Amino acid sequence: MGRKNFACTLVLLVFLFPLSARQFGYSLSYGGERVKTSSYVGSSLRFVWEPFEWDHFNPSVGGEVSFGFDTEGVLRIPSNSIVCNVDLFRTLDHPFWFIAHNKIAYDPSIGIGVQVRYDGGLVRPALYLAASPLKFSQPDFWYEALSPFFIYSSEGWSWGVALFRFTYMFL
Amino acid sequence: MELGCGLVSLHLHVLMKKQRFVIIMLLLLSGFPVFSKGMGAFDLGVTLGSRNHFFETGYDDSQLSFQYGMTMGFSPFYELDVVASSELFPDFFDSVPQVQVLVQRSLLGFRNSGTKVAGMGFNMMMGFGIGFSDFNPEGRYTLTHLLVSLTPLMGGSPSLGKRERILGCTFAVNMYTQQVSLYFDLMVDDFYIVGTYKDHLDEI
Repeated sequence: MGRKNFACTLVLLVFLFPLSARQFGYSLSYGGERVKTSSYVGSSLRFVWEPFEWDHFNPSVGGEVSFGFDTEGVLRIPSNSIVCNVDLFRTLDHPFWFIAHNKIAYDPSIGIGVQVRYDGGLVRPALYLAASPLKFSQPDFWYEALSPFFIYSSEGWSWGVALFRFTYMFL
Repeated sequence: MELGCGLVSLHLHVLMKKQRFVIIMLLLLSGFPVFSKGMGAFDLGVTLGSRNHFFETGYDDSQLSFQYGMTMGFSPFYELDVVASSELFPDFFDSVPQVQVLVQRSLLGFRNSGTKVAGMGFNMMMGFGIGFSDFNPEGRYTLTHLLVSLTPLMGGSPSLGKRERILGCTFAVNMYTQQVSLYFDLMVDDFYIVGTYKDHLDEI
């Protein structure tokens, strides 16, 4: 029975995950954010699911946890986020040939999501808007630079930037 | 009074001459090899990256800065880096940019072979230099720091057109306060305009 379940699960997995494309990955970014009461500089770890390979408006979903040092130098977790990104288009014909040694696609993206913030002494929800004007991708690797994001919560607007973000698609 | 005015105008004249000299030298240095055949190991690139400055919080309370500048290779082993850094967090571009000039040497072989063969893909680099800032009791923008820099990991090379410098540490001694601080560059990218393999394709 156990073996049958295992075999069925494997068959389902093969059907669900096309062999030609990797759908799951994780990313690490480095940057900072400025909020009303403080600012944080550090990293974010994000798990990504990209189910399709569309040339236009290709969606992906990510769950993210941020780590950052505040102005006092204390390491904190300022927020968790769930973000839906859309790659506006994907092209190999772009002027950023100097970014990489080999052929790499240019696929700028925008994103919208929800965030749970833990700074300011309160747990509060927030709206998360992001853009990656310099996003490049290969089948198993994404490279993003200078990606700004904006957050709207009960404290008003705040902003931040991911100086660079590397995503590795492994499954 | 007239003597004072004369001295001031003479001083300005000398200053302008110096500035003109520096500009002409920079133009010659950067422009000459672009038009020359057989440029050897010369290369020129744009530098972009991150920067953190630790242990000098009395003058610099920035958490994260943006680094930008030029890198110029003038031999297979040596290069001249001129970079500025501006604060990103907590106060966006709030302070005057800090400028650093470094002469650096590759430690694991050629940094640029000067031919169409790429040579070393990984390297280390060490260098010395000077830094300009207003980190002195008078708040004057002047030469303030002596620098010793170590980059433990570099991927890519000028020949390939792109180089990544990772975990770079620059120890800085403030000559006014005798304080030692650390500039930490998590990642710096060099994008080369001149001196890549493409400039050597017609060589035998």
